[in-house]
Amino acid sequence: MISCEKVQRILPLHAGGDLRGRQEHEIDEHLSGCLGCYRLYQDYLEGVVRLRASREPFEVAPDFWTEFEQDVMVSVREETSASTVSTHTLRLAANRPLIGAAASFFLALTAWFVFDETRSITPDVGSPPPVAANGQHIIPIYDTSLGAGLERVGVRRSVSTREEAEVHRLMRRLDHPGGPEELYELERVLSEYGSEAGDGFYR
Amino acid sequence: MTDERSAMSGSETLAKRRLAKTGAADEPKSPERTASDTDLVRRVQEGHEDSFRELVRRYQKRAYWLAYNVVNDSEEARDVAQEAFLRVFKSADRFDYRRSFYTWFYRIVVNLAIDHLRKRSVSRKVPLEDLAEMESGERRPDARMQDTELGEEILDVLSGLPEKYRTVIVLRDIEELSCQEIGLIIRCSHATVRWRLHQARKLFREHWARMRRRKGVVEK
Repeated sequence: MISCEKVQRILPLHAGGDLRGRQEHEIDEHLSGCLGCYRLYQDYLEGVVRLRASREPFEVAPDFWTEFEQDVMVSVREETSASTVSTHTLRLAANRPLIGAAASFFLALTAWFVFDETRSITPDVGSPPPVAANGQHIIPIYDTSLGAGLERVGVRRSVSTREEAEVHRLMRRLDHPGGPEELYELERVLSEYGSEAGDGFYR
Repeated sequence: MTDERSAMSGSETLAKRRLAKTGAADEPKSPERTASDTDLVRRVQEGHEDSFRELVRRYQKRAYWLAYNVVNDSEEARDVAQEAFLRVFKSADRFDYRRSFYTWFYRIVVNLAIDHLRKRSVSRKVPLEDLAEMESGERRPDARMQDTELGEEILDVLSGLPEKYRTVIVLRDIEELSCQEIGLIIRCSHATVRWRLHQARKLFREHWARMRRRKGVVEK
């Protein structure tokens, strides 16, 4: 029988149905015989239920979606006509080389900006972090909320070798089916060192 | 090939579920209505405006509500959702057919919503009409028609969460996407999604309890 402390650490995931197999079974078994943990579980569960109920938190005006669609289509047409102007500019370039060269440069610069804004940065999670002179590992910290990554936070920080090793091991094991121990341990290690290290390292 | 097929079927299922929810499934079917998302993107690349319009119809509600749940502002959510569609139109050529459309699209919406949050935190400007609205207690016609106190409270609590946790909890608990799908959208590993979800739910519970205590509501 696993301890209440361990169960309570993992309850937030269990409440949302995010545990599987042995993990799920062990927690359910514990909850059926422990009122304290069961109440906490109910508390988390209510939170999840509240959130799921707020999918569309209010009603919009009846013509809202029609107007929305029209606005999008107008923006797209404006975009298309802007592209047509660009095409004309390119034609001009064929006839008047100097103006054409300037216009092409301007277009290329604009395209680069647009591309640069939308391109993503995928952090290299495969290679081990570099080691600093003091023996500590240098961990690149990526902005953890960006997802598609419009930018990367240029901060680097050192964490101890022990922390890096533990977080790395547990994070890797978490991606594979296993017992709940990894998650309990991960929770302990990250709360001891601060979650940013885990996020930063593993991204 | 298998990945593409599974991604497409997942996307189609999601689209059908949403169409059924919105009632659009009962409307007369044009070729666009029955086409898969990826077919529509292909046709958008070829310059078919109707196909793009169909994508807008399919995803406008999800885009708007997703943005709303992240930025907690109806006007900003509308801007974010419209900008996301414009990005889809402009970047259709770069769509990766091995992926599903909706994860790509959700990623655009989430990124734009986060950008809005950051800009807002740098300079929070209140438009004059909003000031008037605050003073008079009225709202604009396209804003809320039917607020519920509970919905307000949930959004207030969500707004208090750091954006990385807010994004994950909105995608998982409100949009009901799987951790794998969220990983694709926010481009991080399954384990990181689970870790953030774990933290987000803990924080949500704490903030919720604090908010209820502040309001003098006694939880059982």
